[in-house]
Amino acid sequence: MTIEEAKRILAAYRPGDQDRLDSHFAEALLETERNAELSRWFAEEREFDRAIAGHVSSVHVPFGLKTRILANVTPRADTKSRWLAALAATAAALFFLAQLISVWRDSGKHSVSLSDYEQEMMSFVKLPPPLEMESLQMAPIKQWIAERKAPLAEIPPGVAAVETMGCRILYFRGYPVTLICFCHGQTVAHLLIVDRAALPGLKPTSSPAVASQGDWTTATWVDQRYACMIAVHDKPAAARQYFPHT
Amino acid sequence: MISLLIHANSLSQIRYKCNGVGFRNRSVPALDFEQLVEQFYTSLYRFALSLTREPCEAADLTQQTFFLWASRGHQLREQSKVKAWLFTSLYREFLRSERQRVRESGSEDQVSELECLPTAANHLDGDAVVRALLDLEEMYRAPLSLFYLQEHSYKEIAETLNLPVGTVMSRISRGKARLREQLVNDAQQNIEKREMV
Repeated sequence: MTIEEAKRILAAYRPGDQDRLDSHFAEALLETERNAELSRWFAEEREFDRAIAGHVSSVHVPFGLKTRILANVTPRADTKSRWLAALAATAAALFFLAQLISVWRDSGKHSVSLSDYEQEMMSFVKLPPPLEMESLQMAPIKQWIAERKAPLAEIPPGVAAVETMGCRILYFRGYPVTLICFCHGQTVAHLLIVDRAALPGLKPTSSPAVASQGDWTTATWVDQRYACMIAVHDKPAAARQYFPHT
Repeated sequence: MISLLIHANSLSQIRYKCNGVGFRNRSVPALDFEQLVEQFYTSLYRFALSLTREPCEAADLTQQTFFLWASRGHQLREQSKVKAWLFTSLYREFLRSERQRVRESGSEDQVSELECLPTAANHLDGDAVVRALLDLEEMYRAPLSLFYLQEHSYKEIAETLNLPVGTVMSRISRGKARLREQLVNDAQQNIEKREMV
């Protein structure tokens, strides 16, 4: 084995020593004991690899990514046998039927809460999502949204007064959610609009409900047709300027 | 049933749909899935970032990988291959979205993507090293990123990227050489900048 061949093989030897038992590296490792130049090169190589691996392993992972994944994909527990599975399926079907009748008889009841919606939307804007359409003007944004038949409510004066960035369409329980981003200096305000039908039982509100989620402030309100939410990465006092007036 | 569909922007062209039905039929307890996410989402995200070079797209790609697992993962017979399945699926999904992107917008995005990267510090700190790694060509970046994540042997890297073992070893070796060159160039540029100041 030449030194160059040994170097090429040893370049793939992981810095954490996980490969020490791999026979593929055995001969090249033996060669490092015989050849001082190769031994020096390998020591330097490993030092370099350890440093790079350390930097790679410290790459920041977006806050909330795991929560977002788990929130959007929720598996059901396994059943132990076909018999139990069949029983569970029958029970589920009956339950579903009962729910369907219940919803039909009483549209006031709802299975999806506003809190679910708020949390799911917050998990998106915290990342922050890439925009499908970018424009500094509201007119082309409105046209883009209208062409896609996505929900579009009246824009509150607080955000309408600042520059637009663009928009994107998200989906919540199969319903399209329009996201419009506004930029004011370093602050980005996210306006999310969804049809009220996505949140059954939600009644129109006379004033927005303001809440804090960590460093974020949200305002949520409901009109005759839409549920709207503004999320701003700022304190309530600063964020209020973008919210509709009470 | 949870149904979520995200339309990604024209650059990424990553589209994903979570259909609760497909996943709920999967015979894996919820706890297993949570453990699976916990175990792999960090390294999958880092690998995705090395491919896309853009944090939002990397996050989308990571989530898309778990969605794929939700709909197709139950077909996997050997539990020992879960890691390989996840990384291979992520890489294939990246290639698929890249092909779509090239078809729809040509290859004009290279400059704009690089502009999104964090600016290098005045010395070779973590950002500079990661930036140098992300600046490598994709043929070196993908195997080298998996190598430095340290969770994959060269054989597993070959399997994930669907390349011969010899090719993987060569690319790791050459990729490292290019990475060194890049870091040396960065260091020299920083020294020159300091001297000018």
